Parts: sequence; C-alpha cells; structure tokens
Amino acid sequence: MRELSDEDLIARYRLAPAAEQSRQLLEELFRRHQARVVAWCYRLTGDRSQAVDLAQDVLAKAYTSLDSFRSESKFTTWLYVIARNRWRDELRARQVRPREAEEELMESAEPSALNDALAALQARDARAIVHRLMNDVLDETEKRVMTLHYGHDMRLDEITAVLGLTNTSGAKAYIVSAKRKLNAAVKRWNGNS
Amino acid sequence: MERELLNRTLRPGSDCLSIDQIGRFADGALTGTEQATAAAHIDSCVTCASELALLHSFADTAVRPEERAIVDSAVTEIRRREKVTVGATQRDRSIVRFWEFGRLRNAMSMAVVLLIAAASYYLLNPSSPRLPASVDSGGEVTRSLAVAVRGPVGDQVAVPERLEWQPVTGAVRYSVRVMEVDRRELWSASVTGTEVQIPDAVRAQIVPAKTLLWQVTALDQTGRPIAESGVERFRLAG
Repeated sequence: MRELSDEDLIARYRLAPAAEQSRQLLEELFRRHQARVVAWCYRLTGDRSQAVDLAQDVLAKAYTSLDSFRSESKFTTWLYVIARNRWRDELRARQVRPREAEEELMESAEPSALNDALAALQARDARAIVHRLMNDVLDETEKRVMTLHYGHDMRLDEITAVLGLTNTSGAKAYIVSAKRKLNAAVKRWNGNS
Repeated sequence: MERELLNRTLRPGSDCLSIDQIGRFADGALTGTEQATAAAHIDSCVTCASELALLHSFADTAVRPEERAIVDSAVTEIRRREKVTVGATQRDRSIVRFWEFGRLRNAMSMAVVLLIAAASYYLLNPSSPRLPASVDSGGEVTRSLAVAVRGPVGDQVAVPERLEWQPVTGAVRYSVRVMEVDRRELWSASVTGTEVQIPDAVRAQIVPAKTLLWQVTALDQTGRPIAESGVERFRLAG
C-alpha cells in the first residue's frame, strides 16, 4: 500500500468505499500528510494549540470533501488549496487586528521620501507600476515577503516561518531592504515620467 | 498612506488567478492555452507569484528537527480527537464529523432546546393551525433543519470564488441557486460536497455594489429537501 501514489489510493478507495480495505487506504492517505499539514499550520500560527485546531479543520474538510477531489491535480495540491482557503479566512477575520509594534517602529524609522514618492503613483495605474518596479528591482525573496505581508496580510513572523528564512531578523530585514530599493526605483520613475 | 497603497496594489486584483487555478497551474492541469496565459500573468504579477511560492512552501514542507516534538504531539492529539472511523461512507463520515465539532455540537444542543420549547408550546396550546387563504402549489415541503452557510455573506473585499455551507446530517446532495435581488435565477448547481465553485460567467456579474442572493437546499437520498438556508445576500464592496 505504501508504494501507491496518493491518487492511486483514492482511486482504489472509490472502487468500494465501504470496504475494510478502503478504510486502510484512507488511513494511509491521511497518515502521509498529517505531519505536513500540522507543520505548515504551526509555522503559520506559531502556536501549537492553534496549529492543532487549524490542522484538524483542514484535515476534516479534506476528509469530508474527498468526493469532490478530481484526479486532474495532485492530492497535495488539493489539500493545499483547502489549507490555504482556510487560512485566508483566518486572515480576513483578523484584518482588524492591531498592528504589530515592531512594524510601527520600522515604518516610522524610514525616510518619508518613500511615502511621498509612492503617494504620487496613486493617480496613475499604481498597481501595474508597483508590480513592474518590484519585478525590476527586488529579488525573489523580497518580492515574496512584501506581497505576503502587504497583499495577504501575513505577519512578519508567519512569513519568516513559512518561507523558512534563516537570517537573524527574518522577514523584517527583507521588508526594510525592499522598501529602500523601491524608494529609489520610485524616485527614478518619478524623474523619468 | 504608504501601507494603504501597498495593500491596495499588492492584494489580488480582478485579473489575478484564484488559488485553485494556481494549484492547477502548478500541476500542469490547465489546458495548453490556459497554462500559457497563467504563466504570463504569474511572470508579471508579484501577487500571484507569491501565491505560487506559498503553494511550493506547502509542497516542500518537511518537519524540521526543532519542530519534530511539537508536530508529533500535535498529530497524536489530532488522532485522539479523531474518533471517526476512517473509511465509513461519505454520509456516515459527515454525520460523525458533524458531532465531533464542539461548536456545531453546541449549536445543535441549542437547537434541540428550542425545538423542545416550541413543541411544548404547541402541545400546551392545541389550537388548529391557521391555513392561508390560498396555497402555492409548487414544492412545499416540511423542513426541520436549516443549512448554516459559511459564505459569502455581506460585503466582500474580493469577488467570491465559491459558495460554502456547513454539512447537514442525512444530506447526500445540495442544490444551490444564485439569484438577482428580484429572485431571478442567475445560476444553479447540484453538488455532493459543502461548497461549489462559482463559474467565471457568474463571477463576472459580481460587480461592486451589486447585491446578489443565494440559497442552498439539502436533499436526502430520495431527492427530498430536508433543510434549507435562508436567502443570503452578498455584494462586492464598492
């Protein structure tokens, strides 16, 4: 059984869902992925208790929705989509959270030129320009950190854990360097436009 | 100001791929044209590229040595909570799961109390029910349960991708309808799970400040309605 792929396990399970053999097939399928889901949830929440609740929700959802799985994609991708949607709901629910004190300090310590320069973009197609500038001047990690933080409302410690950043100050350092580069790029863009 | 601008420009836009689409892109499960279009978009869109990176972070997740003890104990706790017998039929799984979740169990306990109170009232007041002057001949059923919806409900920050609701004990299929505010049906579907993707053609009609309605009905094995949600409203915030 262990040599079967996830998708093969599900296909065999569907042949006879009520059979004892099928129970073992599903046990094997979920056993394979429990630790992965728990670890991912733990990195997102940074808290064991929350991670257990979140992971249980994800696994239960996958378990009860298994009939909707289509073999056109991988089981792990399908599982991820469930986990990501569940986590996105959490993020939306906490959008009113107070901002982290560390972020406040980080932003207040930055030069105001960045604010002024970015503010000038608002009348234009700001979205397209910001994306282009980020692609032009930021490295991949800086882009990911900026987008996950500002676009997906993830906390810096969550980003540090999920992306496995091993530098001393984690995501914070990437935000600082990304903003510095963006600041310069926006100034150049202002000068050319 | 700066944070607002970054939030606005880095959140998923109307042209961005859904999480499901990004998953299928990662698996190469889109059609040739869709795959190429998605690749071009992700190449220029830092938001979708980050979503793809998140997916890869999940796929690549291996338990780190410093996490091992916590993850192992968490997995043990989840297994202890799982009293359900894996491999039962889908219906059986839904029923057991339903009772496994504390908050749903509490909600059902409250519902039972209300039901008993209502039954007591009618037993103590045995008057004949008032009948309406005229009766609509179409599809009247007795439903003892309500389907609790997960969403979308109310103002949405982005065009919803799916309609979701809580499972209903005994339901094997759910019938879903999306309607204009005048109850004209825009789209309907019948599914076995507790969510359904909203087709792109319907999503295209979800524009800022326009209210849409939706309702889900739970059906048993014979196709008989056994529970129904309220008519839920949502709109894309303007």
